[in-house]
Amino acid sequence: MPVNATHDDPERARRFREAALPHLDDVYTLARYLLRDATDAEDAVQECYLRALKHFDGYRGPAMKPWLFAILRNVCRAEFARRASSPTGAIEDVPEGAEQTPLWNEAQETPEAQMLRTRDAATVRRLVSALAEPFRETFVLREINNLSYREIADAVGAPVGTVMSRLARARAMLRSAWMAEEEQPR
Amino acid sequence: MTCDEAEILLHALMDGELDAGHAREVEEHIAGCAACAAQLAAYREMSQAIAAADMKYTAPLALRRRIEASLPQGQTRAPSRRAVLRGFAMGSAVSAIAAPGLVAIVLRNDASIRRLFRRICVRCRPGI
Repeated sequence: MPVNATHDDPERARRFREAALPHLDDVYTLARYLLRDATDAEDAVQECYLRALKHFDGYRGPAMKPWLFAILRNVCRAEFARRASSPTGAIEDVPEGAEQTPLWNEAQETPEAQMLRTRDAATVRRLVSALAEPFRETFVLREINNLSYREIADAVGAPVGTVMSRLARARAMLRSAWMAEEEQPR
Repeated sequence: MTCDEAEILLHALMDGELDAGHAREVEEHIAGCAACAAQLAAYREMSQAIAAADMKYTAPLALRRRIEASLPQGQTRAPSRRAVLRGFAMGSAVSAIAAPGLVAIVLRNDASIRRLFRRICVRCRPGI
């Protein structure tokens, strides 16, 4: 991407580097969970940082991380459009029937302690990656990227109430998947 | 408060997103409702298990370097006349100043040189 004269300012680049680069792992983590592909995630993150640099003059805060996440989401939308023929679908896609999924579909009497045996990271990552959008995104922003509800709302452009209900759904779905995993013979 | 309301609000409670008044309302409901109390305990445990599992990814070094290189300071380009002169002056200064302490003072006082030094150090030490 060509960089114009204004964007060539070394002082501006230094400020951008100091503000944005510390969040690289977080941005990459979100990209991995959103795109579920390592190569696509790398491309998306690079494009995200190019766009962020381009728009850095317009950045007024409050927090850099949600701002970068918002840009990354837009980049991912373009990637989803490119994948349009693929059944993986777009970021806002909710699988048919998802809204009808009951919040609690597991037996109440299941001992909670049994539900949460220690899981290796790979298994937990797989279960999180299997969550449908937009619940996966909300869950990752909260549980893995540690954003507040307000920051998540800013990053995804949704009201805080929507964030709350999506997070509740996401955790309920993950919990069900986790319990189903536990019930499988090892 | 009904269980339906508590099902949503207990997440905000455990995430520390409720003000004192609403937190108290949810806690009062949970204190009198075994089902909601069990839900809260289960979600807290799940959240702790997720925090304990390493869920984050680390950006590959190659990606970090590509992004660095795309920033104006990081671009490899023909040095400007001014940069060449500055480099020459620095070279003379560094060869003249033998004491490492003085070099450190020079490096500390010149942000651009410090950045340059950092870039060189990063290139010399793969894995950083």
